Amino acid sequence: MSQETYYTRVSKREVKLLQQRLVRIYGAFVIGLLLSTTILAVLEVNLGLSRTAIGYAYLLLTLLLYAAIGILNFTRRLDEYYVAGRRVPAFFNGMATGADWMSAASFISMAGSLFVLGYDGLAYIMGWTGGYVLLALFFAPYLRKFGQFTIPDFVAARFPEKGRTVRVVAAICAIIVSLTYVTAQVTGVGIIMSRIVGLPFEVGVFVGLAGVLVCSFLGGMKSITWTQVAQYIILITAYLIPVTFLSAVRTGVPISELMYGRALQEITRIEQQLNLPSYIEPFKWALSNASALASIKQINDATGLNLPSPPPITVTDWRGFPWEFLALTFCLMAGTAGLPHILIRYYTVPDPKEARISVGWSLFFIYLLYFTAPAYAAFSRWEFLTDVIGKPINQLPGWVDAWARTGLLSIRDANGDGILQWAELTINPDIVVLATPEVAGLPYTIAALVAAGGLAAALSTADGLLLVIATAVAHDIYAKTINPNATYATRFLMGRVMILVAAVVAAFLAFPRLALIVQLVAWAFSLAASTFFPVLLLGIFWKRANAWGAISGMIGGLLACLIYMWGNYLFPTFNLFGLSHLSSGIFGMAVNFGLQVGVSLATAPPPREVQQMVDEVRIPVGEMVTVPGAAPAPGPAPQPGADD
Amino acid sequence: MQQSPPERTGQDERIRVYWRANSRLILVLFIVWLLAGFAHPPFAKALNSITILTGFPLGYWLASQGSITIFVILIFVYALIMNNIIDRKYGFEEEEE
Repeated sequence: MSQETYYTRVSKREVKLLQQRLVRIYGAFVIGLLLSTTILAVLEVNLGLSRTAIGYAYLLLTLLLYAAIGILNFTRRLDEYYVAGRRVPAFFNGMATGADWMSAASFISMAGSLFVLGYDGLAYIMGWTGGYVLLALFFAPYLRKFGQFTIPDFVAARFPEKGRTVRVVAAICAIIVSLTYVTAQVTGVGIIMSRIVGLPFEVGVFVGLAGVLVCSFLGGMKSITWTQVAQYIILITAYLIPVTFLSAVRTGVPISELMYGRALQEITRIEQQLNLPSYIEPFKWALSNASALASIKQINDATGLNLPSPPPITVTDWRGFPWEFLALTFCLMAGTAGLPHILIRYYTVPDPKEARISVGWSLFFIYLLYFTAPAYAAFSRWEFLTDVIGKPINQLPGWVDAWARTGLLSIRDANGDGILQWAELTINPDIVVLATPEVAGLPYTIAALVAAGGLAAALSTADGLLLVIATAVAHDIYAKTINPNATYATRFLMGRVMILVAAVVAAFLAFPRLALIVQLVAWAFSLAASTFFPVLLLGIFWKRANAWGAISGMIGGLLACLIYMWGNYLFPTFNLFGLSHLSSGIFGMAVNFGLQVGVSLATAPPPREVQQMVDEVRIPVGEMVTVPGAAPAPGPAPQPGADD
Repeated sequence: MQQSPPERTGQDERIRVYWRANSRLILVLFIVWLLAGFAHPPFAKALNSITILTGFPLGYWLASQGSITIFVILIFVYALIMNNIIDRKYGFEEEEE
């Protein structure tokens, strides 16, 4: 029996026992988290424990916890390293996916975006949840049945006529998407670290990454999974506590999700009084190249280059039309269903039936946060409109001063009347989540908990992404393409080394803090929607799709998406129906589907074994027998000798 | 697969009807998904004049809570129908060890 088995089947009983153990462990953890928060809060209020001490307490406790889980899950098995041994129960895989999915941006910035965008921001709420329905209906059970390590594994087996090319193209796409995404997480880690304990940004980045590495380096997907479950618990607790208290303070009912209706009503009333633009009115956006200009300037300043910059343009012709909202929502949905770090989470459950249920749990755990984010935004807006706007500047609430000192909020009395008007206030959207504990009158402990939650969100997403990058290089490009005869030990070493390399690259990409990175993350969804989504969908649902179709579809889709994206980003006058560069995936998807169908039909059908493989993928029980192009056949192996 | 031809054809036929049942369910749920996600935003402005619950404008509520609640339910409905009804009907149940 060799060391490597692609797939050690676990029995239902084993999964059940594991699940019971996990419930006990994480149940104890929830109690511990609530207790220690209460104790810290009591110490703070009664004994005057300093803010720095509380910040360090949270930072050290959480990082130690993640490191401990990482060390306890040390593994020497490749299937544990890449897919957690395929024994993660649906419920816990759902939690881990939730943490994997919800990044620093979801945790800290989303409520702020809603605060700024009003109704239009809800495209993100619907887009980042609706994608899971596509994932459940079209991908998750079939990928699990296929049951290897990566998404390129799947496309290479499905399109064996050009298996190598498809694999490399898919691996490179996965690397690009994940690297930009992880860079944004690393930036988030640095910002949060500097906020919790006042470390410099660069030091914060390294401490945070060390935490990620201890975890993913030793135990791969196995330790990442169990860390992510703990991180989910921390982040959701940290997210729900402040706004629940705020709701209780403002409305007397501690259910923010229900009570923010009252906030919306008050907001609308005050807006009408003060003649402000309406928060709930849909489709207010304009197309502008302001962010492109800012990015070009930043790059020119930093590098001494002299990139030409287009004139500032703003297009408002499409205000009041729903097209951008609908297209953006759709792109975010299809992109979500095509992101590799989410897709591979469904390789880790025991079987396809568990995969189906697990998507449900994933979305349920994500839903808890997304359902609450608009409440944060509405309560904050209400707070600002009633207690800040229209008040004498020297009598503002205490938290306004505190946050003005951090630079997240600034006040400029433009007309010199000593009263604060809406236009005289500049707010960094991140303040919506970060300042809520203070607005609700909670002790600093809760604010530190929120920061720890943001850190958990950023680290958990970074974990999952680093593993995708490492696997793409070590497994898809090295072990499957460059050196198929690599020994087990070499492959394992490559996997570990690549995680380190990816982490260091991400750290260096994060240091300049380019505005372009945030933009790249927003684009990642359109890119994934234009490349992976159509190829996976047709690969599973249309047996006639062949390699030529898949390759031309991916390349054509990518080009169409990039052309519209760049054209519109630099020159907003270049647009169809007012769609912005953020929704360029619509065009990529259309071109990809069109090319795939057209080119597949114009060329020879895929070999018979592919048809058989597709049939097997569609059956929710048993093991795969046919895996085309996977030579030397790894086999679906509990039987001895089924290694590479 | 090392099976004799008639068995093989029977198996193929079983997969075909099973897949058709699965596809039909997917199509129904996909249409519900499309409606839940994309039918109400174009009318958001008009819907906002209706107030529900604790004061939510209906258009805003649908996009912030209504749609996403339906999304969660849709996934569980698909998983439960497949695992407990369709898989069983076509004999693709768990082989218990």
